[in-house]
Amino acid sequence: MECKLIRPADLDEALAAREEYTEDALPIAGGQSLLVMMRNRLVAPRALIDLELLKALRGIEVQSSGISIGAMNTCRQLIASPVLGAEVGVLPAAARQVSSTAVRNLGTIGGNVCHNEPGTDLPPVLLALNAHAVLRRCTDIREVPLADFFTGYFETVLEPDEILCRIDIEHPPAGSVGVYLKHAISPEDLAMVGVAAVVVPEGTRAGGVAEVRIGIGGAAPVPLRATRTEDALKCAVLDEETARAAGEMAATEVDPPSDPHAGADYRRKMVSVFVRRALLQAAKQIEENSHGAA
Amino acid sequence: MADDYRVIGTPVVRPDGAEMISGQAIYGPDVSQPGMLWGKILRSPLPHAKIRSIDLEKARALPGVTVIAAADVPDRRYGYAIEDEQIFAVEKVRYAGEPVAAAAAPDEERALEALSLIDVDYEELPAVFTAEEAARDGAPLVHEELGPARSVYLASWNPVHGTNVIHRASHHRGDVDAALARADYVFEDTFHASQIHHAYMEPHASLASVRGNEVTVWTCSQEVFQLRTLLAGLFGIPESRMRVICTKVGGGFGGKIEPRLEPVAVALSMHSRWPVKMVMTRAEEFTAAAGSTPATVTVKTGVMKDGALAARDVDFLWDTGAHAEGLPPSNRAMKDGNGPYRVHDLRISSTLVYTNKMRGTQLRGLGVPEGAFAIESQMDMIAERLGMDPLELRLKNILQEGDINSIDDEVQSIGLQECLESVAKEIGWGEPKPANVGRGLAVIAKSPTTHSSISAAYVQFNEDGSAQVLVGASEIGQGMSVVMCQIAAEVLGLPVEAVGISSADTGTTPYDRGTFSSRVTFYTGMAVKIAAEDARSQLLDVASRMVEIPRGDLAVAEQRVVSSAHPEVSLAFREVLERAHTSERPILGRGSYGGKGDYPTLPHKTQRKEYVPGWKYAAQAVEAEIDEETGIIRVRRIASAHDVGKSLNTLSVDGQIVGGVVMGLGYALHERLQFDQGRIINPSFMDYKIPSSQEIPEITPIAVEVPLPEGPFGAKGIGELAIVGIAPCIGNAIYDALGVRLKDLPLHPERVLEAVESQRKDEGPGFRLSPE
Amino acid sequence: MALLDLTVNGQNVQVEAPDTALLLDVLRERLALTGAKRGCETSHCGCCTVRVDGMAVHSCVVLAARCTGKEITTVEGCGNGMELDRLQQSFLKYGAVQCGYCGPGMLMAAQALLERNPQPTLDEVKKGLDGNLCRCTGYTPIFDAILAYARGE
Repeated sequence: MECKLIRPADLDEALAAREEYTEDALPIAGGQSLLVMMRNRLVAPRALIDLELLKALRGIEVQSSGISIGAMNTCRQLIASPVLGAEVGVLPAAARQVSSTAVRNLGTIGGNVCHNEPGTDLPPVLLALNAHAVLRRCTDIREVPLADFFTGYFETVLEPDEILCRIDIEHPPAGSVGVYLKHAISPEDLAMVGVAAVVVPEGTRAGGVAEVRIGIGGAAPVPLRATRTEDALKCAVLDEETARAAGEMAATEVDPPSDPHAGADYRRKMVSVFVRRALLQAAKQIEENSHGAA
Repeated sequence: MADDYRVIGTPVVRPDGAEMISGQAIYGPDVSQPGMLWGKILRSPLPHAKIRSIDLEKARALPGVTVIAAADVPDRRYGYAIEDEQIFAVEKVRYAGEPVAAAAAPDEERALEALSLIDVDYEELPAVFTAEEAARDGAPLVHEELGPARSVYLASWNPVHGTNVIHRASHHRGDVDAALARADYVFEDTFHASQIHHAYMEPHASLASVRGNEVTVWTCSQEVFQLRTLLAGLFGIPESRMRVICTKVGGGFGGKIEPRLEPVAVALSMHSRWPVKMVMTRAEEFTAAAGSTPATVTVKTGVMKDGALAARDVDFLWDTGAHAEGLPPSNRAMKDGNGPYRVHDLRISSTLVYTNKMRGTQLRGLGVPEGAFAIESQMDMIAERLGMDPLELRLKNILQEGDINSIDDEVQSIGLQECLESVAKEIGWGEPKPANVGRGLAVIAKSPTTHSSISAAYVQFNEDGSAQVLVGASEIGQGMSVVMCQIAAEVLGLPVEAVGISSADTGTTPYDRGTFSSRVTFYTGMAVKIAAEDARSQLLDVASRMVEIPRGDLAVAEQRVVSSAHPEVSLAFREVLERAHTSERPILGRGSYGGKGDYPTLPHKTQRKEYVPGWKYAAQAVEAEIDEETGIIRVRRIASAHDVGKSLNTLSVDGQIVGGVVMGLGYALHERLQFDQGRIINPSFMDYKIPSSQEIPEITPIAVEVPLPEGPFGAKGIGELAIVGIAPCIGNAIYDALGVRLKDLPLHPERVLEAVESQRKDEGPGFRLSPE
Repeated sequence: MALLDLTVNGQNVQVEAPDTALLLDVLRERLALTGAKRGCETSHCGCCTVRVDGMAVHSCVVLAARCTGKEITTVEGCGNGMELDRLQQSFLKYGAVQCGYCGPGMLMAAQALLERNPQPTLDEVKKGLDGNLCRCTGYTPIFDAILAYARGE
């Protein structure tokens, strides 16, 4: 049966279509994953609801509360955004590592998050940035912390009548540093393991940190925060030994899959290595920043 | 002498390049015919199952759709290696992916819809998934009994009846057991080479058109003439009514030699009476076309304290999957399995086993990469134990001019030592290097094609004095077309632009065995050279009558007939052609080449044999950086030196080397078809990674030229060897950097890390002393 | 079915296609522009790369309906009659075409790269081609061709 294409002109129209079709239709953002799934007959929607024309899903806005990123921003737009570069450089840096140039040209942040494929690069970073997903349906709006957004392999809390409109992130604390490390054989691959760390320095001690947030991708059915490790690092001094211990602890917080790219044991070990490396890299950057400032 | 050539040995740009880079070249998936239908295949989802019934009725009820299965096609078996295959599964399926039925419809969607309406009732059977389990007594049989199955490839083949062993052979010289007992050290190691995919960018595509009593098939094939013979026999029509035309081929690498879609396309066209086009999806490519033939290789080598190789016993166990296309690599291993080394007491055994998986077939280097990984890895292990430099150990043992090689040939025209020394120099062998950086070497060789390696060519002059070459070999991207034009141009005194070429059409071009095994430059090249010389001689005959000067005093130069004895003679080709075409007869040069004498098939000791020219030799070296914590290998530099005899086109030769090296990089580092209960679980370019632009190190191609007197202008083949040595080079570099030895391909970071960790646990020696 | 108004290589065309037809299928099957190749259909090989409003995209994952009002450029839009453009010539001169199947996509990706970065470094070239696989050449000749073009050779 032929699949219909619905091209709503604004968000209200799109939400109405969502309400009308629910499970029978899928929203299409960049289409870089969805169209492949359709070609492979993994999904066979009766209609696609095209989000391309929705202005409400565009733009990157700086507000007093934080930064609001429209779900239809492509990776290319994230990379080019001066605002993101200045405020949260780690996000465009991760976007630069998503798949290939052609996919970055069309693939969107919203599509990336809703598709929830293990090993994609944006979710670990967004988690470490305390991002929230803003979801709309005809009658209401809800905000879901990204940490609660992902529910399983290729599954999220998004309801069949909802649309992900924006991803909101807090202004990072002053002096904080973000790092994203991707472990893959070649940069355009999905990450075997991807680790993002946002480290908030505690100004008085060398290597001292007030808070650390660690987002990990590719190491569980969903991208996740290494919360126990984060707790253990509160007010710690980030040196070689602490970082190593943190890596080892983070490795106990994941539940990695085995797939054609890597086995579960290997991924777990890599979590340990890359959490350590990310923390040390962040610590080094903080130190360099403080020298630069001095 | 080389300097005397006008076009040979220069980087001539390929004449077929323009149509390709402008997007106008017609590849398999681009062919169309008026009224054509699209064909799709229903494939078995199970690795081994009895077919209780097939119900086609619902599918056939769709308007405009043709649906066929085994009962609708000739009940004949086919296959080049061994006739063990039918168009559709009969009674049972032997691998997940085997064709069970097919449909043709006006578009792909409709054909797929028809397939979805076919009901097949399967009864699952016990299956075998590894060569080791399949070779055991009492294992479930993939093929119960083949009966009088024929092999085009081997005059006789040697199955173990009542088992899955389809061919067992050995090559034996001297007294290996006694020589091993006499050796100071004996090393025994087992290596495993994984199954990789050819991963040509162009998927298989064929279009068959049955009109009246003639069948025409457009297809991207490496061997149109063998395909014609097979299709004509299968459908019971004379070869004169079966025409196979090769489209542009978007890469082959051995994966487009055997028939794939063609028999189904012809059958669908016969039933529907419309032309039928079929194109494989990438998933079909990975699950149902073919991969390489993987092998487990056990090498036992006896060595003297001074490093001299005393004896070698190599045992190959090949997993051919459900069809015996692994026969060529398994058989070839007996010639090539010892590598390019001087070893008198030698035994090479090879066992080919059926399993319930997609077939293994020939892939660039067929059989050589699997053996070379074992031999070249073990050479470094031997060097380590003897305290010798791996370079020195190789220099001491590699074949030299006049040595006797593994198959009792006297070695002639070998540039291997120069290859080895040049890559060692290029890679900085012995120079200081950072920690976690290692370097590795390999020397490799491949024997000539001995299986009916025959080629023919026509060269004819056009009215304006330009010329046309006709050959039956396929251009698959390797640059055959430009090289054939260069050969003709050199002989005829023409610029390359004045030579056109047509290739691989059984209706118009002369016979050729096809494009495989690095054979075209040599064999087709010789046919073209002979044909061009014939055409030149006919041209001079006409000119001789025109100027009344003996032919022996005439020569060709710059599109003119000239004479050093009679400087006043200067006839434009055009004038001679005008005479030929108006008052004599057209000039048609013919060339036909079959190598030198009758070639032996192995085991050949019992046969009268003759020297077979055209061994290929190469040496490679790699420098790699290994991350000890992650197992990730970053190759920094690769040098690859090839004894090409004579580089006919330097651009093409460099291209073959660099391209082969990168394919070798994938084979070494990450390529592997992965199975779960016989089903391939990574059938896409996302899950089956081939090297991408971002993984490419600095690569230095080196051409060493030790001319082969029998080859065209001294040339040897070049296509395959560059893939072969990269895996052992990297394995050796890992050892050089970290002191760990990996024996299974690919050298995936997970495996590297495992090896590093287990070495930390126990530091066992990789050798054992022979009994004193 | 939908009637699409497309601009392909500077020419306006109207074409009827299913609502969710992919750009690759429309180009190949309805407009007979077979320069964009079908290689994997999963957006990994890049043989189907074309440019939409200048950006390199894999046409196997682009809805044709989304391209209305945009400029589509395919390999058929390069060169002039029988004359190749300078980048195409550079590809041939450096041996960047072996089987040629990846060529049109590589060319499109290279064009897009050179337009936003006329003087790329080797690493930038590698990154710019990260969506295009080649099994024949080992990529090096393609890098060489692009770098030589950028140098004005």
